Amino acid sequence: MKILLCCNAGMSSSILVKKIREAAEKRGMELTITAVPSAAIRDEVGKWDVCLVGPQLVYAVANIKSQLNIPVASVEPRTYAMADGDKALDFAISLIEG
Amino acid sequence: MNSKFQDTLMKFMMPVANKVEQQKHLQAIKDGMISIVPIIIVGSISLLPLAIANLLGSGAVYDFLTAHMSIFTYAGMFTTDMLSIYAAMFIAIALAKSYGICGNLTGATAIMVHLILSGLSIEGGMDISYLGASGLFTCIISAILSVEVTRLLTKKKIIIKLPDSVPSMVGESFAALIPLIVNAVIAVAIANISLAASGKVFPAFIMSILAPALSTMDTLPALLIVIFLTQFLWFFGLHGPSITSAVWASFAIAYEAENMANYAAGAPVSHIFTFGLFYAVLQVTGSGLTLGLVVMMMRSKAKSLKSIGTVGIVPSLFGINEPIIFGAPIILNPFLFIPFVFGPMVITVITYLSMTSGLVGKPIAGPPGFLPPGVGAFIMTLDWKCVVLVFVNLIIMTLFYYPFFKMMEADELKKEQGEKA
Repeated sequence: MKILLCCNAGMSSSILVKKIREAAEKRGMELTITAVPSAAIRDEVGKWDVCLVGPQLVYAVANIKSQLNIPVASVEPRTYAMADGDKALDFAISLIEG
Repeated sequence: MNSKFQDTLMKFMMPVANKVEQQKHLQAIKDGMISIVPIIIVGSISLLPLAIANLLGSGAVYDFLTAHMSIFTYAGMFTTDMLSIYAAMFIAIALAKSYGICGNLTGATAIMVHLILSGLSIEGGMDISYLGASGLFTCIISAILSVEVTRLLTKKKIIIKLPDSVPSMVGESFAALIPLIVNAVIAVAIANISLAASGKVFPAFIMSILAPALSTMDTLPALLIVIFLTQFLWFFGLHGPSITSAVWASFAIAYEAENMANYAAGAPVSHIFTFGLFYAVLQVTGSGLTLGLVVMMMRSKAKSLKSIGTVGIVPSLFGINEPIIFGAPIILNPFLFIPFVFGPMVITVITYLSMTSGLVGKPIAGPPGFLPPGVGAFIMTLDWKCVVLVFVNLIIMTLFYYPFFKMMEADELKKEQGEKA
């Protein structure tokens, strides 16, 4: 599974990257994950299964979706704040299956 | 704040934020301008020896630095003084990418157009005075013009088509040739029309049109509007700087580059609203200067606040406060609206006045982002008083947050006890 995270500068979402990776390791899942700034989203077309966006960029979800053509959604604020890797991973999986 | 009012505001703000986000030119300008920050940092580093010599004033180190100053500041000539060339390239690439037409020549075409428009040919060389800070607005035009011309020509299929047997690289370079030639012709025409009609090189003409806007953006009222909008958007959970900087980033970066160039030339430094000032002073430890709030949360008796504070403290020290904004939460939190939105405006007034009065040095360099509080401010001004200013600002903000935090904490404790009972 390949998850892309995106926020304004790729900084705050990189905190969540680490936690999601840990959660996936615990489950024995194979996972590729990285965080990019929203300005770099155009270089990510065709590389990912799903994209999670920082809640602060909720207004950019539609635009990102139109470029990536994969499921894109903003992370629930509390999950994002606490960098809850498990919940974020569940959310990503639900987006792909949904 | 009742939820109906919030819903109405949200319904109004989301489309606006969305529109700004989808406006390809604005986004390309913002992304391109922010891309030159690393180049500005290199220029800033090359200015450090000059600033250190100025601080020392005499002595062995001073003598050594002054004797070799032209070597130390050598890189500045090719970074700060030619900033608009880099920006033209970055803006063009960002725009072309958003159109899905970024090719090998995208950056080069923009640079070519920009040089033709801005580099005045003089006896034995080229006048580069409009390639630095004062060329930053022209380079927006150069970049957009070059990409739009190329896009139009490609769309109308006015490109040379070669047989399939020709190797693809050869084909590509021919395909890109016509837009390149047309771009050159248009740029030469504009440059010469400007010279003939106004007697001024094109960027001088652009700067004279922009003069009112340029002098307006670097004023206290303008800065207060920027800060208010930034904080207000954040209060609703939308990334404030990301949205507002589509408008102000070009100005703040141009001011920063102009200050650097003036400082290097020994001329007075005049601007306050620089890109570095925004992040290193006005939004230090994150939008809303939340460091004090985070510390209070860490020490709170309310479990939920304590856990968020603990998660948020380290990122906060590096200017990342999303965990606090979404965790406390600050968004849509009636307790924190006043200190979060209006506190930073007070900080802006204090900062602005302490710089105009000469109490604290004005920005003379562009610092790297995401540094602990005070570090960026020092690199930016090389004035220890600016570091003091940052901490005074943080303390004032903490006092601002305190009573509101106490109310929020009491409310939270009541909830937690309610859950237990």
